[in-house]
Amino acid sequence: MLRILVCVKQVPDVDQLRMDPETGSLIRDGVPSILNPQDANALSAALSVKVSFGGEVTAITMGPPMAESALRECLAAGADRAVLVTDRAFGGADTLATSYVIASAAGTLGGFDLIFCGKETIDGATGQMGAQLAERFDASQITGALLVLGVDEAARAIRAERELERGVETLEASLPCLLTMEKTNYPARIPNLKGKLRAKKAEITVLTASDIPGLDRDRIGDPGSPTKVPRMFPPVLPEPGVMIDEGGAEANAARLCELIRGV
Amino acid sequence: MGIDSEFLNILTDKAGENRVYTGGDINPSYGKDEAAFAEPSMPDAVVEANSAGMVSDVLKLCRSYRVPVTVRGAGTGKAGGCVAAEWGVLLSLRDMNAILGVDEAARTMRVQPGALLQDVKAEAERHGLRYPPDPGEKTATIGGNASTNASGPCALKYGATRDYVLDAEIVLAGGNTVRLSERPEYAEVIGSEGTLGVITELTLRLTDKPGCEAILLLPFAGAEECVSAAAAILAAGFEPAALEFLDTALVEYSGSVTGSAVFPVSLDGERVAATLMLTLEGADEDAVMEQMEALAERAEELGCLDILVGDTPNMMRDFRAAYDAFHTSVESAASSCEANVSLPPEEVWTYMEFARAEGAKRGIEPMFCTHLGSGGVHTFAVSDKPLAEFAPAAGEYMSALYEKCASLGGDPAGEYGVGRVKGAYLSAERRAAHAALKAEFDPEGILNPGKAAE
Repeated sequence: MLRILVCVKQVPDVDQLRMDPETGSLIRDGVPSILNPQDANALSAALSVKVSFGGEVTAITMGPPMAESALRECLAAGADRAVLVTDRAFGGADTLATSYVIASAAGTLGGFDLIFCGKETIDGATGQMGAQLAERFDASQITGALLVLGVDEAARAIRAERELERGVETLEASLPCLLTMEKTNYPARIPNLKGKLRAKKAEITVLTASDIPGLDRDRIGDPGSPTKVPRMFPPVLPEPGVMIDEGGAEANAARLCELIRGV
Repeated sequence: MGIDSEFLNILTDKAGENRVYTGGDINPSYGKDEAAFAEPSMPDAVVEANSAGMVSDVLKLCRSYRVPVTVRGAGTGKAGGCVAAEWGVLLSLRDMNAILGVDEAARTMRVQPGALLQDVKAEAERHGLRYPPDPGEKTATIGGNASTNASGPCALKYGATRDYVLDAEIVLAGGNTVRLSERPEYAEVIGSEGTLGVITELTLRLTDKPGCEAILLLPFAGAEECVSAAAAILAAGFEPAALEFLDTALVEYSGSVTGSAVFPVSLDGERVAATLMLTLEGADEDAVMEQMEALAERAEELGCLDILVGDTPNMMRDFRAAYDAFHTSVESAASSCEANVSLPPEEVWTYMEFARAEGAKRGIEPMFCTHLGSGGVHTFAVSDKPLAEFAPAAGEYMSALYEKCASLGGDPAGEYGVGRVKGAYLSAERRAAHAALKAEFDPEGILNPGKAAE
């Protein structure tokens, strides 16, 4: 049976996030937390693989205790189990420290054949976690995967399509393999009510720093994170565009020409 | 008929040269709205008003010269209501678009008529409140919404625009400025499509936001079962904010345009014919969950294939975006039409069956989005043919639908008003009632002639 891991993150709903223009700090009051949308696509891909090729899907996240709700979303959508990696000592982690903790925590759960990640999160948007995790899991990796074509557990191989600038290529990789997913073929699963109710009652495995044997305390949390953020500031937005509506294509084109000429 | 140079000189003097356009200087967009197949109709002059005083001056002048005045907002209407019927002055209020203030304690918002619905809703949300009416076209002006008494899916629980107008500043046909609250009959201006007065400011009622909400999708293998289930849900005492019939053909078509259907098209290999979309609200998560569980107990009786739940901000946003994309997706076709009517809810299925049968006679495959609780039916049709080829059959088709609606005791005006498209399908009683109002408010008949129930 394929053992499938999906790495997810709870993020603020950036659509509702504002930045204090004076201090540059994010105003998080009243902003709901959501499952990172691309992680929902990764989960959807993992569940499709499970349906087609069999397996068990585990969702894992590192975050504060409230991140449990993101895991319950995963369970409602069809994940078989969920693991919350949480500890104050993990706070302030950059991607290097986070990938170290996630890989170490996953190590306590036994090995995984397939690891799915979203391509990036909507808050940090570094896109680094997938590649770092693949390295830590010593797994092959397929980035920007569009479609999983086949998994051969006996031959320890996966075939998948990935998108390139000039087309689509088909790759075959050995297991274990980590895939970062494009959303195109794997829209977020809409949970059904039964799944929702099941997820509400489901037990979630909680791992703290002390539950992970051999964890190097110097490599976790803020002290273990070489990335430092010296300053945050809102981007300077370009002037908003001008709508041209002169009532017809010719008149619109004429107006556009005028604007280009600087009239 | 037409305006003379004397009139034009005074008009320009009153409104200012840079706010008056005539002849070839008039933006051709002013000759039409989003009504399907309507021929453009250009006014003699356009005034882009920027104050209630200017509106008053223009109306005073137009009455003394007996020049018709057509009021216009964003021009997103679908019944030709904001297009000059034959001649006269087109009075655009889109520059009067300020949100004048929100009183959080009183839960009210003062707004000029040209403000867009989407901005009004966003402003209410910014203050932690809600402006509930949700007509599909969010780039319509709030003045246009008030003039047509527009409504949308959540009219089932929250009512239409009229229910949220606490007061208004209205300029009457003679140029007098009054407040809606001064006399009960001034309330008739709301929904009168600019035929009784011009709204120059609105005071809107806002509500608290629900503590928690969720959108449920109930897919059905049969469309009729879906319609029946809605009635059963209401009969059982559920009070959803919205109860929508989503035709899978429309879901698929819209998905082909946007790249994602979002709503279910098949489930465990079974084709979904239609999906019932319910919005549930409650004080908190437990209150909403309680309603969901109660609904789950009835799932078998309702005959739905499953109950899918969107209760996260991103899932609900996806659903709403996919729902709002129905209109825009249809409009992106080479040719398209939409007939919107309001029916007694129990006649919805009969009407939809008729629409399918009538469509089949003309090679038209209708797609439906229906507010099942309130009986509002949007019938869409698209074609790859050029408009000139599609228009004759589609025009006849829409007429047949409006006639059928009237025969079933419905209101062909639907949610978009009567405009110049649907007047012929209204009852004699309604016309008489309107004529009486018109005689009182605008005996000279200068305000938007040929519209609404005239």
